[in-house]
Amino acid sequence: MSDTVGVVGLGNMGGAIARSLLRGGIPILAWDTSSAALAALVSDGAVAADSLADLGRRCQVIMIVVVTDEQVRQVADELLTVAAAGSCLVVQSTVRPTTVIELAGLAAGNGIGVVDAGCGGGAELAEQGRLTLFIGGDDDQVKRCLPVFEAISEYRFHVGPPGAGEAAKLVNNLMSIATYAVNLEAMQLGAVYGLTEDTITTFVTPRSSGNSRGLRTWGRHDRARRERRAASVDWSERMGKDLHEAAIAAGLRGVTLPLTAAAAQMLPMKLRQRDREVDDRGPFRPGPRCSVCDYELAAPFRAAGLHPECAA
Amino acid sequence: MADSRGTVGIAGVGDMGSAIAGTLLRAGWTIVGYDIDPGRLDRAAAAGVRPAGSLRELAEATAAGSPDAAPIVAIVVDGEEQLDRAAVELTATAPTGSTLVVHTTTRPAHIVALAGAATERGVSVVDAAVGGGSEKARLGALTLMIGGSGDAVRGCWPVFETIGDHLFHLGPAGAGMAAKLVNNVLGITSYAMLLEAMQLAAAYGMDEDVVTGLITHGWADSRHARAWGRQDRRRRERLRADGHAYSRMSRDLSNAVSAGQVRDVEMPLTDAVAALLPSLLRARDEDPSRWRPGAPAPRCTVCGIELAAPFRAAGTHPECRDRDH
Repeated sequence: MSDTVGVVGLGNMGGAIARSLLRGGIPILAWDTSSAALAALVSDGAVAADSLADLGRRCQVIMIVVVTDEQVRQVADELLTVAAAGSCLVVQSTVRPTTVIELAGLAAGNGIGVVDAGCGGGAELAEQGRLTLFIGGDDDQVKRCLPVFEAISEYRFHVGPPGAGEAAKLVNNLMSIATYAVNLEAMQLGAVYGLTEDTITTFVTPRSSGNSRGLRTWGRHDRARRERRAASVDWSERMGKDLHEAAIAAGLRGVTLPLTAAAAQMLPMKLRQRDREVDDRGPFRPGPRCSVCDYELAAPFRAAGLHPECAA
Repeated sequence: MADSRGTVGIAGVGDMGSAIAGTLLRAGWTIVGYDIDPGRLDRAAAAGVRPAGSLRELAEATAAGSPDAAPIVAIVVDGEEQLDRAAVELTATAPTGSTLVVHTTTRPAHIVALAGAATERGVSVVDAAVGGGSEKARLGALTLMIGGSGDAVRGCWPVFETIGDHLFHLGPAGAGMAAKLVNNVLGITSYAMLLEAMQLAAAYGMDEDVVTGLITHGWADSRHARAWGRQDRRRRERLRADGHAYSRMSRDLSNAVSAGQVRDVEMPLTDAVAALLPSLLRARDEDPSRWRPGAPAPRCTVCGIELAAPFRAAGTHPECRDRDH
C-alpha cells in the first residue's frame, strides 16, 4: 500500500493542487492527456503514470481535477475498472452534485469510496494551499483524505454525504449572487428617494437583518465586472449561470427554487443595467479596500481601514 | 412627576409599542398609552403606562404632561390603515406645536401626505422607522431611520436616544420610511433566498447548522444566517398572538415595490419574493420533509436573538461582541 496520491487532470487548478501537495511532502503520481502538462509537473517533482489505468492500479487515494461532468464520468469509469477495493476517488472538479452521487453509487459496488471536495477559491489560492473546501462523503473516507485536504486548504467544512460538497458550493453561490441581485433593486429604490449607497450601507448596521458580507464589501462587484470586461470576460452571463446551476441541482432532487430561477433569468440584464448606471455617473473610481482581505470597504468601515469580520 | 424626564404619548401598545413604552418607562419617562384593543391597554397599564380612553384623550394628556416642551405622540400601530386613522385623529386633536412620531412602517408618500395635513394645523410629523424588532426595542438598541424638519427631529432626539442606539436623520419627512423600505427589501429578500438555499442544502443531506457554518464563513454571510432560527420563533409567536404570520413580510415588500413604481423604478425580483414568500413560509412551518433543522438555537447574551451554530460557543454574535453594555 503506497501513500502516493494520484492526481488526474493537471490544468490550472489540478496543477496548482498537485504542486501544493508536493510542497506538503505528499508524493504524487500524475496523469493528464496533455503530455506537456504532465512533463511540467514531473519537473516539479511528481512521477508520471504510464496511463490512467496505471495510476488507478497504483494509488489508494485519487484526486480527479478535470473540467466537465462528462470528463469526470469518463475518468471515473476507467478508474473503477482497475482501482483496488478500499481505494477512494476524490472529485475536486466543479460538477453537479448528482454526478457525484451517481458515481458514489457505482463505486460502492466495487468497494471504492467517493468523496467530493468543492473548491472555494481559484488556482491562485490552490497554489498557496489556502483553498476553502466543502467536503461531502462518509466520515471514514473523509478522515483518510484529511492529510491531503490539509495540504491544499486553509478552511475545511465536512458538510454531508457524497454530493454535499458540490451542493454546498452552489448554496454559497445562491446566497451571495441571488442576494446581490435583489440588493441592486434596493439600491435603485433608495436612489430615487435621495439615499446614496454610502448612506444605505451605513444605516443598514451590522446588526440589521439586511446586513451581509455583500453589503459590507459593496462596490466589489462593480469593480470586478469592469476588470473582467477589460479582459473580455462576460461576467454577467457567468454569474447568471452559477445561479441557474443551483436551481437545476435542486430540480434534479425534486425541489423547485422559483426565486433562484427568477434571479438567474434576470441577472445578466440587471448587471448590464447596473453597469450602464455606474457608467452614467462618470469615470469609474474604485473605492478603498480592506487592509486584510483586499476587498472593497463600504462607507462605515473606511475610517478603520478593514471590515469587522477581518479584524479577528 | 417631578423626577420624570417628561411625558410621551404612545398610540398602539402591541408587541413593538409596549416594548418601546417599557424602555422609556425604565429610563424615567412618563408614558400615556392608547390602544384599540382594551386587553393590550390593560397589559400596558399593568406595566406602568397611564391608559387614555381615546386618541383625543391621549393627545390631551400628553400635552398636559409636557408643559415646557413640544408634546410628542408616537404612533406604533399595525398597518397603514390604522396609522391613517390614528394620524388624522391626533392631527385634529393635538395642540399646535405637537409632534407626531410615526414608527409604523408605511410608504414615504403616505408620510408626506400626513405631514402636509398636519402642517396646516401647526403639528409636525416625524417618521422614525425602526430597524430591529421588539427585542431590540426592549434593549434600547433600535436603529431609527428618521425623516422630518431639523427642529422637530431635535425635539424628539432625547426620546430617540433612549429607545435607539443607531440614529440616522436622513432627510425631510418620508426619508425615514424610504430607508426602512430599502432595509426591508435587503432583509426580507435575503431571508427568502436563504429559505431556498436551505432547501437546496437539505436536498443534498446538509443540516441547517452545517449550512450556517459554511455560509457565515464567506461571501454568503448575512445577519439572517448568523441569527438563523429567529424568524421561525417570531412566526410561532405571531401565530399565537394574532394569527398573522405569513403576510407581513410580503406586505412590506409590496410597499417597497409600489414606492419604486411611483418613481419609475422596476423591482421585479422583489415583487416575485413578495408573491412567493407566504407559501414559502407556510411550507417552512408545515412541510417538514423540505427541511433539515438543526438543534434549537440558544440566544445571544447581548442582543437576545438566536445564535446560529458557529457562534454558540462564544455566546454572542461577532457583531454584538463590541457592544456589550
